[in-house]
Amino acid sequence: MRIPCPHCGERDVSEFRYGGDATKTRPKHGEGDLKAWHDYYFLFDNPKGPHTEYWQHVLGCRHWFKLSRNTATNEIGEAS
Amino acid sequence: MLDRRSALASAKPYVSSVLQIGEARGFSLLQVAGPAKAISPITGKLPTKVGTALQAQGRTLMRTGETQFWIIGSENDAIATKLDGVAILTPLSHSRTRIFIEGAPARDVLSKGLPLDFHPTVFKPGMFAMTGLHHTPVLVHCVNENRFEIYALRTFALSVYDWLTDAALEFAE
Repeated sequence: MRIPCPHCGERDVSEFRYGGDATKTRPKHGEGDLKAWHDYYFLFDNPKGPHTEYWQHVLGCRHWFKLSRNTATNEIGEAS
Repeated sequence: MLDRRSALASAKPYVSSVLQIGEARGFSLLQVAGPAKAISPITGKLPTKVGTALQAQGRTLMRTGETQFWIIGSENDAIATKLDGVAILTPLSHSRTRIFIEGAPARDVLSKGLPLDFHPTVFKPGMFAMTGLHHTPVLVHCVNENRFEIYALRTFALSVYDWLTDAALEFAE
C-alpha cells in the first residue's frame, strides 16, 4: 500500500502508522458527561468502504494528516 | 580534552573491490526551525523543496520540512552562534552517526531494506529522504550517483551498519 504524505509525497505504508478514526468528534475539555467520554474513547465503528482516518508519517517527516481509505479495498484517496 | 567516541568502534570492516561501506566521521549537525528568509542571509541560499539539499559555504543544507532545515558542517562549525536568536536550534551532532556506502552496487544494496525507489532517474544526487530501516528512522542522502550517506541514530548505528554489510555480502571479498 502506498500513501501520499502531503509533505514527502507517495511513500510505502511501512513508514506510516495508523492514528484512528478521523470522523469522531472529541468532547470539549470540561464538557460532556461520563457516557460521552466513554463512548468517545471506547466505542468504535467498524465501517466497510470509504473512510477518513488519521495517519502519521512516523518514520519520515512525522506529520499527522487525514487520509481517505477504502477499508474494503485499501484504495487510497486524498490526504490533507 | 574529550574525544568523540565512534558508535562503530567495534564494527567489523567491510572489504570489497566494488563497494565501500564505513563511517564518515567529523561533522556537525544542527537542526534549525524558522522561516527561510530569516535563515538564508546567514547560511546562504536554502533549498526550496522538501527532500532536497544544497551546498553553500562548505556546508550541506537540507530542507527537512516547510520551515525546518538540517545544516551539516565541519566538526567545529560555529554556525549555531550566528543563528542564535534567529531560529530555533537543536544540536544533533552527538545523536547521529553517518554511514556511507559507495560503489556501483550501492543502490541494489539499499533497495534490499529501504522502502524507496532507488532508480537513478528517481533518487538523484542532491536528494534525500527521511525513511525507516527495520522500524528505526534514518535519513538517506544521495551525495552522487553511487554514493549515499545514511544518518542513523547513534544507538542504532551499529545495527544499521551490520544490516548494511550483511545486505552487501554478495559483493564482499
